[in-house]
Amino acid sequence: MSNWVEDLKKTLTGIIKGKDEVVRMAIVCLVSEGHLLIEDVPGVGKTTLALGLARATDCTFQRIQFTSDLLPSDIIGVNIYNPEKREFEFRRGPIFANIVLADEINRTNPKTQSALLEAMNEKKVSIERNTLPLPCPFMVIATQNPLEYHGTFPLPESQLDRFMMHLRIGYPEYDDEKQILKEMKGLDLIESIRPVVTRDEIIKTQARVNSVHVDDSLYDYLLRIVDTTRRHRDIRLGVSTRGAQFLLRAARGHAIVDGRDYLVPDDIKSVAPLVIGHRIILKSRTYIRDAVEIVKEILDSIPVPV
Amino acid sequence: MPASYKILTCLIALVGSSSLLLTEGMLPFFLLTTPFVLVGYYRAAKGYPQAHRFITGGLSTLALILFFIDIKISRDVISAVGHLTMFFHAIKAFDMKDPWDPLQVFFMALIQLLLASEITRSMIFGVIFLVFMAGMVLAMFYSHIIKEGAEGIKGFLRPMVTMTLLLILLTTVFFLVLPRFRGSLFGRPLSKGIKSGFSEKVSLGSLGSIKLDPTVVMRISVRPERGFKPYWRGMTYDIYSGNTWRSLRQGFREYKGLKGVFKLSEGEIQEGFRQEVILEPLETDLIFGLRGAFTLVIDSKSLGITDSGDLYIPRKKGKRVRYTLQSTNRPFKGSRASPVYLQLPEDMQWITGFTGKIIAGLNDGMEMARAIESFLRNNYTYSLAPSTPPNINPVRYFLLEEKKGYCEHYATSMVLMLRSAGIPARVVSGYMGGEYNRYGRYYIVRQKDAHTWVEAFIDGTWVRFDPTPAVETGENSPLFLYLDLLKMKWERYVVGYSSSDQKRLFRVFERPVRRDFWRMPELEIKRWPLYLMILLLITGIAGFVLLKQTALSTESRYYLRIRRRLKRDYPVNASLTAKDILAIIEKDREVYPYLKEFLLLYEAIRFSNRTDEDHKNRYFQLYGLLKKKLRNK
Repeated sequence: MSNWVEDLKKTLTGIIKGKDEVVRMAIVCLVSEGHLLIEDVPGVGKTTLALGLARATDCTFQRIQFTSDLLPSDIIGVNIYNPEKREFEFRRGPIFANIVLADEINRTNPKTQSALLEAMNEKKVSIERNTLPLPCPFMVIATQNPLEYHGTFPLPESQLDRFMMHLRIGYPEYDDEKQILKEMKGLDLIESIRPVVTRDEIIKTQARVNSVHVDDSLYDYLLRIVDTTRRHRDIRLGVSTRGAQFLLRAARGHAIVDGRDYLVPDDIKSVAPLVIGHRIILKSRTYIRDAVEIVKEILDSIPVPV
Repeated sequence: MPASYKILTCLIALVGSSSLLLTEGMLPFFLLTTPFVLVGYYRAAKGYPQAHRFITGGLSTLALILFFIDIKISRDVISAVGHLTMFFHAIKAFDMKDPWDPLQVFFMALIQLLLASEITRSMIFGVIFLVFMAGMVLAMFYSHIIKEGAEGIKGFLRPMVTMTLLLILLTTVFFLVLPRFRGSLFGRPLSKGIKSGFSEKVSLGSLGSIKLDPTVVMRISVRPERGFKPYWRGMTYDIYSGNTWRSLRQGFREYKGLKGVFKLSEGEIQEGFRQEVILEPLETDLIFGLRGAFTLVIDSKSLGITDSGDLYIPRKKGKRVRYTLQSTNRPFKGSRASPVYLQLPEDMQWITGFTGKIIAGLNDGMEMARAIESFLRNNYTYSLAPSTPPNINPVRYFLLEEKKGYCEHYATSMVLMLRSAGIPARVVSGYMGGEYNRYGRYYIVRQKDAHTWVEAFIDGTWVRFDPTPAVETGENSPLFLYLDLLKMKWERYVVGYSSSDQKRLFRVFERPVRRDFWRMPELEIKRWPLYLMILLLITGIAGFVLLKQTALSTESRYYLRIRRRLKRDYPVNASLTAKDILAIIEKDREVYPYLKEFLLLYEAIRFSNRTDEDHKNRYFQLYGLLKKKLRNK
């Protein structure tokens, strides 16, 4: 059933060395129909991950480089007058792809940002009177550069909320990095990737996520995590109900990726920092602390159900 | 924090404050903090913005500075801390932000309660303590719900039951183990003491105001006989001159007692009345009881006694005294009356003639005394407010002109008349009667029961005469008597719970077969805390085990056992998932493969909705294997 997951994992870890966990979470995100926000410095493999994911899954891929002058129509598409047919016809924008890489999403203006985020949420595009469904599977991988603030439009919390996971790739380990330097194949490697899974298989697997069995005690565990973020002394804004829904869905996806049709506490615990981290706002006095660190601290304080 | 939790916090703050305010050890000024507390919590419950931390911080600093000034001036740490907590309550009411804040309030209320217990011994404190305990249980319970969220009745019941059991258990244990101090911990006087009117010199007419005072002076448990009219003897007065009675304390001697038991008369032990007395803080060293006392049990190192049988113990100011006295309540024999008892003041020689008319034709001392007694009883009227013109001999005025007066006038007159007739006599003061509480079988003696009477030495014995006509006194309602009984029991078993009570309790374990021991009346009451404690312990343990058992399946218990075993060697805790545990144990090649299978199977059984018997069998098999492997390590 989920052997394609293993194949996909193997393929992707072949091109992004030593980042098994990142790859796994990206697949969890794909399986549970979520969108991914990758925040990291340039050159650690954000694009490689997105591109590799698209290639290995036999999906169409589009890349949108976000700039400050990008317009919503540059993403969604535009109606163009066809003089032969004497009517307007819709020319689809780059968003009509299975996997969309939105590079440096915080560089563009809020109007364009919200156009993308709306499409992400609804999985369809409305232009004038027409509503066009986006292809299935549909996944947006957005990247953000955390260091440059000049001329950027940071995403507001309500829009960060749309991303299921917020990942950080980080520098590779010493040995892995050495290996990368030795091979030095770059994009050629990605070109060589053969699809290991069909789109239909992905859709089928996605459909199974909702039928993952969740024991009642695990709902309590999840709610307790969510609830603790709401009353934590360093947190100003805790996780919303939508955040809790996302957490459950991601945990279910994690169970599927792990080859199970039932949820275990570990599913929740391992996705929680990635799903919750960007949904909480810290109190100003603790801005030095990292939200993910605090979430991990919370997770370490809550007993798992037995 | 929900509003109801804030209201509960407010209530606990008020309970704490009122416990302090009700002790009367606080300035009434601090009553003014109450409206602040109320307004603060009202705002908090309504969800209004709370005070900025600079404001609360500043006010708290101010309160602290005031606290140090307070100590400097009053040199009374207890009330200074009390004042500080009152201030803090008012400040904290405007600062309800974190879940941490109510906890601070609870803590402060607890401190107030402890302070109050230091200042007062009144029964109202017991009631407040109960309210506080109930409030605390409720609050703990509530904060648990808030923290844990709605986990259903399972998570709800357990903390409540255990908390309540623990609290009751702890208080019972504390009650049984710690004997209460006599007085307070820091030796603070309970109150200023009651003015007694018993001193070595008493001028005639000074008892009048005391006779109107309904303050309770003592409570005496005694089994009365039919027609029993108790005279609680206090002090004897010997010499009358210049309108003043004086006590010479003839033959005053001091005894050092052994463990507080004093034998007051030589010879064999006699039959008599056993009186258990709780004496309120009186401004005197005297203790009271029926005449003919022969044994005294009292928590005191020394005892003073006079020839006339007056009993003195060194007394700390403002402390209650508890003692047990055994008396014959019969006229006691004297060898020879001192010539002092025939003394008459210079200006009172006229009384010889006056008396002569009454006792004309009588020879027997007893008959003469009876005649004088009935003469005074029948021809004079009892009045608490006789007119007393200045510069006139009050006895002469009473006998010849006013013919109205109270016990002092009657007794003085009779003593002087007896003396003029050649019969040695003296005035005795103390209390007469008191109200008998039939529910608790004890007398409630008040200031207004203060009385003086006469003792005359006739045929080698000191006989009591009371020339004062009987006065009707009203009786209190049964409700009052019940409440007073409650007060006395509180005084006896809560405040006055002493080390000897404790010893008696522990003797239960030593000699459970001694039958007459069980018949001791004190123990009838004392046995219940022990039974209650055992019962609570058993139900507590049983309840805890039961709750724990029913909440978990067999698989979960096996998992927990393995986890507990791993905890000995590895940093394993409750927040770790199976995968986390495996990551820690990874290095242990011996255990790891089994543990991995065990944990995966556990999760499959516990969290999936399928039941696979093979899985379960393998799981239990692995459990046994793992236990062996872990034991061998």
